[in-house]
Amino acid sequence: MLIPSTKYLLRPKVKTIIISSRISSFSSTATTKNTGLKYFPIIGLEIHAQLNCKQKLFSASNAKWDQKENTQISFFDLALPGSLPVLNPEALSTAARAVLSLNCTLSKVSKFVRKHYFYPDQPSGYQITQSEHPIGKNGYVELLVEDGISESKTIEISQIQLEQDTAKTIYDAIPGYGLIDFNRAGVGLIEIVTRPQIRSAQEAEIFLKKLSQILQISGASKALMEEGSLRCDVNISLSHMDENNSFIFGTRVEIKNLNSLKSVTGAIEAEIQRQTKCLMKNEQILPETRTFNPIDKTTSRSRNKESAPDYRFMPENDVPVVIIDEKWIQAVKNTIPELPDSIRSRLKSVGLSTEEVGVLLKYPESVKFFDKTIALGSDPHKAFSWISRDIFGIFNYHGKKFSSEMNITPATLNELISAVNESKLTAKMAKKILISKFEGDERRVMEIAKANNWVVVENVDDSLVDLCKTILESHAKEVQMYNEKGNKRIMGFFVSQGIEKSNGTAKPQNLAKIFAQLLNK
Amino acid sequence: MNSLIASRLTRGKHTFRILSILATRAYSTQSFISENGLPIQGKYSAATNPDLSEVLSSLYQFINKKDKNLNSIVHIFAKDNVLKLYKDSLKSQQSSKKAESIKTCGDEISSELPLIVLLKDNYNVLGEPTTCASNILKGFVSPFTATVAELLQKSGALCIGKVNMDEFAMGSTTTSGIYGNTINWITSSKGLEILEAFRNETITEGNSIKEGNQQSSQVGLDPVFNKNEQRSCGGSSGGSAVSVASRFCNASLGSDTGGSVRLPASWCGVVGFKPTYGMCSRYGLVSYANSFDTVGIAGENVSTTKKVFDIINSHDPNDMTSISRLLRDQIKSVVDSRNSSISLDDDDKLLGKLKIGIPKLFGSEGASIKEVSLPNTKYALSAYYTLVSAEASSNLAKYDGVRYGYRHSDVDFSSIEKGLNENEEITNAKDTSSLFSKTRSFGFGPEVKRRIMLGNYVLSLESFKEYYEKAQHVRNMIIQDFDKVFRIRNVRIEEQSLNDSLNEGCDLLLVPTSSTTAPLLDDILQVQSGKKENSSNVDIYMNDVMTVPMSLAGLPTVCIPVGVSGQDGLPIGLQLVGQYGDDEMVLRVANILEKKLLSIQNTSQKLDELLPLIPKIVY
Repeated sequence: MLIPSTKYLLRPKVKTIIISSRISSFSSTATTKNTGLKYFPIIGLEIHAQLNCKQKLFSASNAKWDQKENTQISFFDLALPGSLPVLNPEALSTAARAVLSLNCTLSKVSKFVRKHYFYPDQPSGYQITQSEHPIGKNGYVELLVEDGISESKTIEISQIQLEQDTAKTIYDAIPGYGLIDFNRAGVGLIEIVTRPQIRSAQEAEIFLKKLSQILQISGASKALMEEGSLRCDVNISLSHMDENNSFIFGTRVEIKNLNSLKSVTGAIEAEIQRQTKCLMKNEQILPETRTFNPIDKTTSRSRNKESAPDYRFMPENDVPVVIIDEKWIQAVKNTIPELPDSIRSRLKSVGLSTEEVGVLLKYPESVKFFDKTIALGSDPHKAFSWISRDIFGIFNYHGKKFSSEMNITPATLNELISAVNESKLTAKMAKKILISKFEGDERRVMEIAKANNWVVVENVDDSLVDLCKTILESHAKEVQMYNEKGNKRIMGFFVSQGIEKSNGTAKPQNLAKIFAQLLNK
Repeated sequence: MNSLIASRLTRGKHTFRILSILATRAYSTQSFISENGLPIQGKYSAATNPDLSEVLSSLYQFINKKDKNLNSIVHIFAKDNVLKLYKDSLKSQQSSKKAESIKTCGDEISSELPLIVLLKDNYNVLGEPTTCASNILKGFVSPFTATVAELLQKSGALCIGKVNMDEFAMGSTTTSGIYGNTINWITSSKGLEILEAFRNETITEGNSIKEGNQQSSQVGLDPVFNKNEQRSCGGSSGGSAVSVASRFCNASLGSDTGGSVRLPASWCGVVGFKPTYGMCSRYGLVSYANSFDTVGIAGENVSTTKKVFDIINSHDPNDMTSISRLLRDQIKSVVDSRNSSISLDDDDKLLGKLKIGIPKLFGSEGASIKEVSLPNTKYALSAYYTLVSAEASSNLAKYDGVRYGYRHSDVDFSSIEKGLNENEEITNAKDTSSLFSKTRSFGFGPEVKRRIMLGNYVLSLESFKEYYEKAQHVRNMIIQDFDKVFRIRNVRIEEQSLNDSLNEGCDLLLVPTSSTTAPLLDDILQVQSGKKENSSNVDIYMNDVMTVPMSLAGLPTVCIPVGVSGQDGLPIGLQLVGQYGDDEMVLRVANILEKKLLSIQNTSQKLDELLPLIPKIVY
């Protein structure tokens, strides 16, 4: 399944990835100095993500397995004789979210199979999984420059299958023993299988980050490697060109059970190093399963191909064929939030820059807030600047992350922006109102402004002219500088003095006008 | 005296006369369980009001005494538990009487003896052991009750214990389990005695009752259990058939994977019903070959069998293979449209309107019967054993000694530190494969291991396509064979396959159940132990040839006793097969057939005694 097809290798993208020996800092390069042969890694990932569901895949027990040992179990989870699986519809729709968010085709007909092997953490002696008729097929994830990759690239997903998680064996809690916690047995997983299009540890890392972001936003999985809701197996081989420039495939080695980004990148780097050394010494690389030791950063053999089990796949006749219709698919689609790439292109189309989009994307809820604000008529640039500078600033001040659960609503912001536009409020007053709203003021924007006497004084009255005169009199040095050099910056200084002295009620434009008249006399 | 009265409480024309005598007498509950065992359901009027506790006591005594030789029962439930569940069911029925919709096993529960039921030892009952007659489930006590057993309990039926079977239902002789062989209630000499009784009947005509009386004291009711006389009860639900035939219960739940209820029913002379696959829930029935396994009913007659079926026939959300309400509605509309198109309301005229097919393979007699062709039947047996072994190897993978049941204690736990509590659920990671292989080697019997090995081979990479997929293909061809023969369509298949010959099709098929009557148990044991060549007479796997096609297609099939063989006096069964979902018609026609057979049978007291549940007809 993960052996690269010729068709794929002929694609021009591959050639651009071949990296010369000079860029030795890039981990994907594995060039031997002696022969000048260039080895390039071909990497595919199999990612197991736990579904974000209340119940297990085939039983009604709680899928929140990280609780007191052996408390979240039902008859089926223990494979008691006479127990039967009942497919949890929530698991199906949650998996469908992942399938659709990863641009896969959601299969209208999917089937479950049994994959047999004996292990203490596999109570029934087989795992219920999918093979030829998985829930999702043929998707992709786009890695963009924004994601940290040097050149944007597509990683294809060959299939997504629904399957059961195993129990958890805890070794050496009592030295020399394995204790089994069945809480995790039967929790729903999706296995995401990529095509072997990844070329380096760094790419793998960027891909995994992007993948977990997509899974999190779509609500399919918590996708946190640190808590075990995302786990990864790596398939890796080194290929090279021979003298006639034809492609020579390497032997595929699998590294199983990598539980952190660090171990994924570490394992890939270690394995590239090991395989390169083998190839240099003309040693044969065996098709085998290896494990990664994060302490000394090496991989070691855990199972060779001869001892690999024959899983004896057969149809799971206890679970009927799953048939879904267009209506159901549409219903699932409607509940999936918008994904970052789509948000990006949409926000760019209203005029935000890549960097600005990046700022909003840090807090997905702020995107919705932004959308709602501009939907009410606010200018996108102004809305962005208010959200990113002022509202984020308030949250920051309180040591919190942006959340839309606050007193400031998109309507509040829109009202403020238009009040400033219409010169009813100064920016300074608007900011004060924002803080007051954030701190729980239930009144409307203009009510707060009026109550605090923050409304802009419209008429240029004598008192303001007097105020300006006093300012000029007390800053003779600055007046002189203005007159001599025509320094425009000094006008800014006078205006800011005016705002300060008027407690912010004076409009800057008015102040500038008065100062200009007084100074040019 | 009581025994004499009760012994005559059987089918046949005497019944009503005796009942009228009974109604005028006051008698103790002791008479409910006479030397002839449990009376047939529904034969008592409201005048009797049995004390259930006493009835159970005497029934248990009766079983204790009679089952010593037969070995049909492996576990009897405590009387108090049985009575408590019964009282609970009465309470909940009374409280929901206004809500109705609950199926009960008798219209007036208080005045009639409730249905007494035994379960094959592969059904779970809360707090009771489930062993599947295997060492590997030794000590396993189920924490839940199978749906069908619960439905029976809630309807007011008494589930009183578990019956013997072949280990994990693999076999057709009830000889492979840890509890030993179950023996057919009928022996060679009893068969001869029956033939003799038929001969006397024809010679002496009217004096038969008197003669019968004289002989009964000589022969006695206990069969002579001489090893050379013992007949096989069939299997794997041999315990179910024997327990019904021996009057330990009115009905017994078996499981039918490829004929496991029908074959023993045929050899023991009781009714054996395999409903459509998915009609009755498998939740709580231990899987053997899960795409074939159906709940099966061994019953004393068709009406009791129907009664049990009506109680357990419902959709169960705990079993995804249980037929959905939607599909049940579809079945109903297909069946109803057939029934109304040929107006099948009147039972008396029903037979004249139905078309009954006899597969060519078995030949035919009689003009009103249509010959049909099921060309792929010849592949059925090999396809069946291929698929069943594959599924068995998978379903039995869970027995590894880690969580429950037998665990081989001879595993090298040398690294286990001293002072550790050995009862703790601990497995040594390095030794698990040794634990698994030893547990499974010692836990399973030879027939189970044979099928697991075969199944593993069938599923292996190199042979999956060659065997499993081919067998699956044959299975589909067999389903198509049946679909071509029946008048109504198979609702699982799209409407388009509705064939042109709709009106040409049959409603039911009539098929023998077994190619022989019950063989000698000793012959079977010798073949199994390799001491004797497999002759055609005791070709054990061949016994399934008439029953597996229906299992491959999941069709409703009932086997009813039609009489005894003129050669050995042993019971003969006949199968009625219906289209997928046509269970009601199968049982309805079986009931008519049963009545017809009883109306043409020989009647004598002697024959009544010898064949309480079998039409007294000799072929």
